[in-house]
Amino acid sequence: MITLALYSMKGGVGKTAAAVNLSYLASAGGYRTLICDLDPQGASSYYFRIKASRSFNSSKFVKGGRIIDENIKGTDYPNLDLLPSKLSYRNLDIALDGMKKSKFRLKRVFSEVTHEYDYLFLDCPPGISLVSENVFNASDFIFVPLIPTTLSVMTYEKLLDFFAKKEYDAGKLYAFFSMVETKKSLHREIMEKIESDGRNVLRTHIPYRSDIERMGVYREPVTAYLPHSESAHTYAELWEEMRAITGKGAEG
Amino acid sequence: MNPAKEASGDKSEYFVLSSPGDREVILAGIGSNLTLAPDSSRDMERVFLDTFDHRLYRNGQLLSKEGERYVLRSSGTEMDLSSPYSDTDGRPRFWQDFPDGPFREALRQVIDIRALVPQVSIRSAATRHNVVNEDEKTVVHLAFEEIEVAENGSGKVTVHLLEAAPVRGYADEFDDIIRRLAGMGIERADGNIFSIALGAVGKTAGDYSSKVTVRLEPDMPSGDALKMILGSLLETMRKNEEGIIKDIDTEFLHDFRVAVRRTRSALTLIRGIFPESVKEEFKTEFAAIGRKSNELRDLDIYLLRRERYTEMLPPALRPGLGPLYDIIAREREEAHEGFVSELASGSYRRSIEAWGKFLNEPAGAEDELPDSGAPVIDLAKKRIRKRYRKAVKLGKDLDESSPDRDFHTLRIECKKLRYYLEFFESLFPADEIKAAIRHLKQLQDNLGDYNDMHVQQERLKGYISKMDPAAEEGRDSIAAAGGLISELYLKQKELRAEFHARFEEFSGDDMKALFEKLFSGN
Repeated sequence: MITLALYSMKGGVGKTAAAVNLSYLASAGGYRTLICDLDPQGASSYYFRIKASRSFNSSKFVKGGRIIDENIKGTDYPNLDLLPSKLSYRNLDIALDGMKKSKFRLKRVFSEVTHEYDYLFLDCPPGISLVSENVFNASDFIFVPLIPTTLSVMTYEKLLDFFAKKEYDAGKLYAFFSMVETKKSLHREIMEKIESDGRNVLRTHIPYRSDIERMGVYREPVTAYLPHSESAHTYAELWEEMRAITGKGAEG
Repeated sequence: MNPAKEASGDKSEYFVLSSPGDREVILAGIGSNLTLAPDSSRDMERVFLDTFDHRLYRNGQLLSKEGERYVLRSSGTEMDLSSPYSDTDGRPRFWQDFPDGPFREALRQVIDIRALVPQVSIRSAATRHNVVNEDEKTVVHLAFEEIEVAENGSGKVTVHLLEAAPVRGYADEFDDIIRRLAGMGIERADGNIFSIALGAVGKTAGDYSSKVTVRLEPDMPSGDALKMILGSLLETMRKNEEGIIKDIDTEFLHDFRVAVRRTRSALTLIRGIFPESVKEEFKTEFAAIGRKSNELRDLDIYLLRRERYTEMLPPALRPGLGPLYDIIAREREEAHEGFVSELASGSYRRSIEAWGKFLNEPAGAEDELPDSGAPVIDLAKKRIRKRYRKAVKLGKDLDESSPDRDFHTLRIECKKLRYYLEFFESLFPADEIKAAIRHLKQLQDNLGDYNDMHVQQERLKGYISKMDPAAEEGRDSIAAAGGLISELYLKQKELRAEFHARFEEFSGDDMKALFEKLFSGN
């Protein structure tokens, strides 16, 4: 199983939209895929119309084991399952704190499903917390959606500093531009600058589009309900890039 | 869940409807406090593929060709393959024929060296309903299907089915639907869509086994038991003939040959039960048919091991394998043609027919001898005991300086013992006889591999003499063959070093006690 995180310190950058669409594309390509909603807001659970069972909560989640298997639910799409989040995930940091190897807890939780899936997608909450550090340890690759604005780029620099300071492997980090409005010259300038810096930046840009926003109304991935749309094509290109990076790209 | 279900692959439950009109009744009955999402209809043609011995089915998987797509379903997960394959005659047969990816890998693990063969095709007109909850999340899929089943040119059979497919994490909703359907008195079908379709054309999924599957009773007359065993072996031979002739995959010949060898072994049991003349007549016949297939089998093994041999060689010597394999492939074609004409020959057909006739003669026929009526358990114990003692004695005489030939003799003796154990397996406690077989198998694997290495080195030496050392290609091949010979020789030496440990286990006190316990008395 390859674990991919969609992560950003900043909120509202298109993490969930990416996680939902990319996991759908992976599953449609024949990979057994699980998406784990780590965000207490539960947006990806909502998009797939899935609610966690009443008895499930953050402390059960971090304890792991069979409970994980019991709480995974099938989406309406073949090959794609979801582990829904609960509002109690807002306390995930507290639940993790004080546990042994508290920064490696999620890695251990996910080891339960290693043989069942080819890909695990983590839809992460914003911020930089104990949960985030768990994500860094549990993931093989971390994809950071980046809105091409000064503030966004600054936050990304902070993340890189954090990785350097804590000695996390920055080689796992990949940025991709999200919610891009090519009409804005600022967006274009920032993208050019970052791309020429020689960092791990994916070529595909996800545009700002209303059909992506409208996923909340349809409660389906745009790649599923409008597979021939521009947005769906862009996600497909992004997924091809990621698939190549994760080492499965040579196939098919 | 019924137990047949557990093994049958998809997690759907199927219900057989007596008429298409049942649909409205069911929908009306099921609908209360559950929402059925709008209908969608789907007409579909599917061809189910599996290996001859239904490996996918037995492993809980289902492969179908739906339009241009290949779909592999396994225990609830679905893998779609929409890209075509790379096979030249337009139909993928082996896992290698599919493009690289998880689909191909999943197939490889299960079907291994066997070919995919179309098993049955169905045309279905389905009306689908999603049972959804208050979030409009699908929790159960329902599909009413009218399926038309056709099997290789035979007539068509129509079946009306209702499929209820679960969604992971919504088991309660699924159970609820199943309960409601059962409450309406709808008949639940065993198995999955594949086995139901096969059943509709009078076949049984997963019913082929190359193993000896006869169930004997201890006090059954020896003559009857032997005829049952031999009859099942003859059936295995017959079932595999077509696959050998059509050259579908190498396992047909392999299973056929094992059945022939087992038959020859079983013939050694008939002393005192059937006249010696029967044994003499058919022993020669089966020995001949076995011998005539040796060459083809040896060459098959070469072709199957191409990848392994390539890896064995240092890269510098690998180019020489190409021309070597060209020769092997040519020889194999000839050997196949030769053996197919053997199978078609009048003399083979006549002896198989005569053999079948003999086996079908009712018990008490005049050519049976007095021991024919003795309980089979006595025969089994006595003969297995004898074989075991002989194998132990042969093995004890082997040492470092023994020639390969003597290892070969022990190998043959172990094979006979193995066959005897398998013939009479059903007469003994399953776990104990399986333990005996397991230990024997470990020794056999060692001896079998050892012999293989020997045979292959000999053949490679033969190829060297056929190559032209004056040509570059010839020199490359000679070098490759030489490289392989030395690798095989090294492996052979390792196996010989391992032999004693294996033999110790086989002939040690534990096994002796086990054989004593199982096979003493009378």
